[in-house]
Amino acid sequence: MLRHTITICFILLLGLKTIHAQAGVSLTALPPDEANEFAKPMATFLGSYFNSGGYYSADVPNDFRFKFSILGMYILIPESQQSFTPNPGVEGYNDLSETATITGNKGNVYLGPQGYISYPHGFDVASLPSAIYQAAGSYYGTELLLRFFPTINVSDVETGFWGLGLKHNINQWFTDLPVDIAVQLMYNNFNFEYVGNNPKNYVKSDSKNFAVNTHASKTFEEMFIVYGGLQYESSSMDMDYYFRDPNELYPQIADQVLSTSIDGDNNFRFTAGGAIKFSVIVFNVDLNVTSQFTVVGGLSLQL
Amino acid sequence: MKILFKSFFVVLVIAIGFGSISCDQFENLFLNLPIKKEITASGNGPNIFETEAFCLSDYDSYNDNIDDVEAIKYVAAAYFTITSTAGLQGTGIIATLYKGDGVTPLFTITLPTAIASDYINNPLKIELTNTEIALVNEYLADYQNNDCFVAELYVANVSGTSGPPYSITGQFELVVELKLKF
Repeated sequence: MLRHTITICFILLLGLKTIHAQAGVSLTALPPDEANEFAKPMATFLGSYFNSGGYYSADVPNDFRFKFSILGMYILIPESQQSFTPNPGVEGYNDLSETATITGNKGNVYLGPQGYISYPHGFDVASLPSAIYQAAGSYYGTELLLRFFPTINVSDVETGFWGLGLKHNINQWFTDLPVDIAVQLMYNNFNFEYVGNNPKNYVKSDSKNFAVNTHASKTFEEMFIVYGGLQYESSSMDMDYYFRDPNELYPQIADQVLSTSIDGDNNFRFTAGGAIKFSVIVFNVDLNVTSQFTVVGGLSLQL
Repeated sequence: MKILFKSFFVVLVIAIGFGSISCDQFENLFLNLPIKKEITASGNGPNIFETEAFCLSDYDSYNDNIDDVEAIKYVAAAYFTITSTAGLQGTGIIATLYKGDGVTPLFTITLPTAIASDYINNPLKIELTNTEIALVNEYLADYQNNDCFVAELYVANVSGTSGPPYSITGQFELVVELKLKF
């Protein structure tokens, strides 16, 4: 039941079912270059999502430790990612006004020599709450982070994710550092694929999210932790989709599966946060200044 | 310790609930459905006209989402000429959209000029009055029974530098917005 709930939620959260439902005039209504611009905030969102919550402390003890964490996130989609200027690449459709991205509001229609070209509406979301869970084990100052959800089939969509993180505390190599310092690598992969019977609904996506960071923390009274870090991150989403061409402007590429690769706007992230330990339970909150400002709240069971 | 574990699971449930909020965030989806209907009117005159019927169910985007449609409303309409007899003109080129019965007009537009070639690669955006838009939307409100239309292209007192017979092929465009439940 729990797994089912999380699964359903996760899929809905990412709008995957929605994309599927919108097959007619959403992503599948756009040629690759335009689909790229339309869906870019989603690639960025996945980057913001998966590249969050990697740490709340740089302290990694030498003895064996295990922790399980539930993370809640609140991701803000900035105004600048709510619209884009379309460039359909068809003669006579130039200098067009802006239209919605996947997170924006109204999709515009434009009249040109070959009639109307209609762009899809967005989901009209300025923020997205989300959640994820993860487990980590550490030994000798090195921590392995795991995120995993098995590939499952829901509503004709097959989806799953996995993520790995590796973190190393460098205090053991330098004596007398005033704070704990660690470096961390993370890689998260999320994929979904339409596996239903209608080939015209076909969508497949493979989201790859990479992050490397250095972070520092200071623990007071063995209870209060203040932490912060600087992270470089990237996100990309390879997408295959059936292009229907409802605007009838691209007959040469219509009615076939097309591919595009979407790079998210994720680059650098600055994180600052605090945590409180109550025995084996840790609560933490951090703020992340990045392409999509993100607030992360975490609850960890640390053994 | 027991209390701590209990707390952990309480917050776990809250966290999942928190995630569930995002499931409810998308209450409705909106799709633009572009409808494009080509009509060829031909004959010896003095008037030539043709009608073409079309239904929303002719379009995949509508059929794929039919179970989730909550409402449909008018967005835009246009006309352009694809081809015509050389120099084709008349005293009026008239585009009419009827209800599915082919008799009851939803709106009628007389193009600003009656020269067919004026609309080749130069579509006319059809500007409807509020009353006409309301009439179309009222018809679309009962989309389960009213998903079909008849479009008519009519040229009065046709003439041309060649012909008879005369012929004009135009495209009637209609964009409607589907409101879907998530």
